[in-house]
Amino acid sequence: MSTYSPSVVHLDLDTFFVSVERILDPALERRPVIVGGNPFGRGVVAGCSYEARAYGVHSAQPIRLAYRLCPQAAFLHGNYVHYAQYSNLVKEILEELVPICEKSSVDEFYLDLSRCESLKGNAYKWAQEISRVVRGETHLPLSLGLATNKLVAKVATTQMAKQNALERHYAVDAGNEASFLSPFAVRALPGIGEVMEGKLEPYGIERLGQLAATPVQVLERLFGKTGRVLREKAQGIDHSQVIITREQKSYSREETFGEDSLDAQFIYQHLLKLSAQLGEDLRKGKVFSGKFALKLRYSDFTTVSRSTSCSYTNRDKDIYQLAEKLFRKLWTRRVRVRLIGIEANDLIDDIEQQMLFPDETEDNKCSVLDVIRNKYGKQVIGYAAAMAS
Amino acid sequence: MKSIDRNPKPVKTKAARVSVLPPLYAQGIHLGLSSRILKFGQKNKVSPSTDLFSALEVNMDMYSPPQENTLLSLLQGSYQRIIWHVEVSELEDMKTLRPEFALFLTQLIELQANATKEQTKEQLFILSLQPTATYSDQWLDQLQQQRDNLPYSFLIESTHRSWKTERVQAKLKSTGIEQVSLDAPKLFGLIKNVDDLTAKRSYLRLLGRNSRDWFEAPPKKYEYQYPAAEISEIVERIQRLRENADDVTVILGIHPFEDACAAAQLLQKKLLAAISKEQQC
Repeated sequence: MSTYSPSVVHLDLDTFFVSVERILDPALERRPVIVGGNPFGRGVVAGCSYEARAYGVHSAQPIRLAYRLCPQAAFLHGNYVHYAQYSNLVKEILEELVPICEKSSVDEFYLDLSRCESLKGNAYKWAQEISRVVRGETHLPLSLGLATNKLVAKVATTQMAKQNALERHYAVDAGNEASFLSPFAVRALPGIGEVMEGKLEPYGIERLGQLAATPVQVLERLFGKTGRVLREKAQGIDHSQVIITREQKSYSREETFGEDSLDAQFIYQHLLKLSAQLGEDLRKGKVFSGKFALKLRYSDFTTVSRSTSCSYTNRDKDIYQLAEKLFRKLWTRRVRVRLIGIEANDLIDDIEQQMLFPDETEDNKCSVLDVIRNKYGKQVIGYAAAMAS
Repeated sequence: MKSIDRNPKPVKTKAARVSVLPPLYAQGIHLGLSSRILKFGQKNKVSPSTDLFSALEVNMDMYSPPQENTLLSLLQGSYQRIIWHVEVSELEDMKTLRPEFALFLTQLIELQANATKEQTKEQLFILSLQPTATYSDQWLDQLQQQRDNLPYSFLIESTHRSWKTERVQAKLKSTGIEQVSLDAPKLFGLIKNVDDLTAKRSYLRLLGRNSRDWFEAPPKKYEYQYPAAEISEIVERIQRLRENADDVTVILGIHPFEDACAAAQLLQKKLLAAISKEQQC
């Protein structure tokens, strides 16, 4: 009987934000580049090139410090729309190539190549082929690691593939997981940060091999359940599955009036209410929409709709302005209105929100509204103009 | 006292230079600008500059057929070819056309029949799908149906990458559906500047090369201040298309007109120079 071992690929887009910026402006090639905004502001580094890393710059570092370390770098404001478009593009390409694809973050993906050997042959060769296709289509540099589970595949990418300038891929054979992990520092393991590293250090646990060899009773006494989990991880044991991520294609909100109406003011109030609700849905889903559609049903049940493309947004104000504009174009009959609805399509990830890029006033206002609604309920706060409805 | 030159040298005027070179349309290249029209008596944006070229592309969405008087004025321009470029919305599944599209077509054809009895301009119809429209086989039937119903030559413009695969391209070719090529910023993977070099009719739409603002709403999105090097690249691309196609249409977009017009004139000049050089060789 042949023994079955899963094949999981972790794919990481190298210096993703910088790579996208270099596609947009080839003059940035071979220059230190730091994405994060104003070098004199209070933000943090969202991404930096390898040339900038040579000066000690790294992600999540205060941008002022990054400026002191590498003042000659090109400091760029993050362009989240481009990043989200490229991230979606890579996902689309991967979904065409492999049956199970999980997008774990804007620049990281897990692929399950298990049980496909009969179709595609060797999993490692297939992974290399995938890498070539993605790179060829998008011109984005990437690294990948292949192993029997997600955890080891990720470590293979971050610790081995990324360090190899020529071949940016690395495979860990089945059965060799523990021995592969053992020489790395404990920080290499996903889930161990600066704090946990500090807690392990006094006990002389600096390498993953040492962590794997520490008796489970000792670790449980020191760290509780976490101790057992960490020991298993250090031994290369991880049972988490690659999950197919299905993203919502659209968001919509609609309302049928208690009584059909001809009163434009009344309809605008409801449009504002729906816009605020849709905006909240989009922000909760951490997405922006680039296309909004308005649906209008007359009292004789004739339904008309119209859509418009716009700059990507999830702000209440922008949505209302578009909806109002569409409504003016759509309401052409002198007939009572029974229902109105707004739909948001063409969605992209709101990386601005995810990466904590500097907020603008309007975004802050929306965020504050969302926080209050989450804490005290949806009815406690809203736009004054929509209250009458 | 001013001396009089008894043997003046012939002065090369601009008009004289132009008359020496063959007009572009005689070489099978129709160059023109595009123009967006609006409905309900709003001031339409057809620029007088459009008369400088041999083609005019009229942009509209399927909810806004032109008014009769606008249509009449469009059909009276000095250009020889008029192209109806219609942006269509899809249904929620993004795989079928909205029913409103059929209504739009009927209106357009009726309006045109009323506006002018004798039609001398060559007309093309471009069905422009939104970037979110992914390919599915359902589309193929619908496109064939639309093409068969229309009294104009029919092309489609699609931007989603699913339309650019070899399999889909082969299907479109086998059904004889002609496509628009785009010249857009080099956003790898997102926009494919692919040419069909076997098509008998080539249609190239120039959308500027403004990659940084590509996802902003117009007018920020489009930028027609092409540097000379980019114009030369475009000239080469048109020459490649011309080698195989009987007919090439090149259109520069909507906004802002002055930049697009200046770029079109520069392109015309360079194309004529390239053709003349080719003929001399």
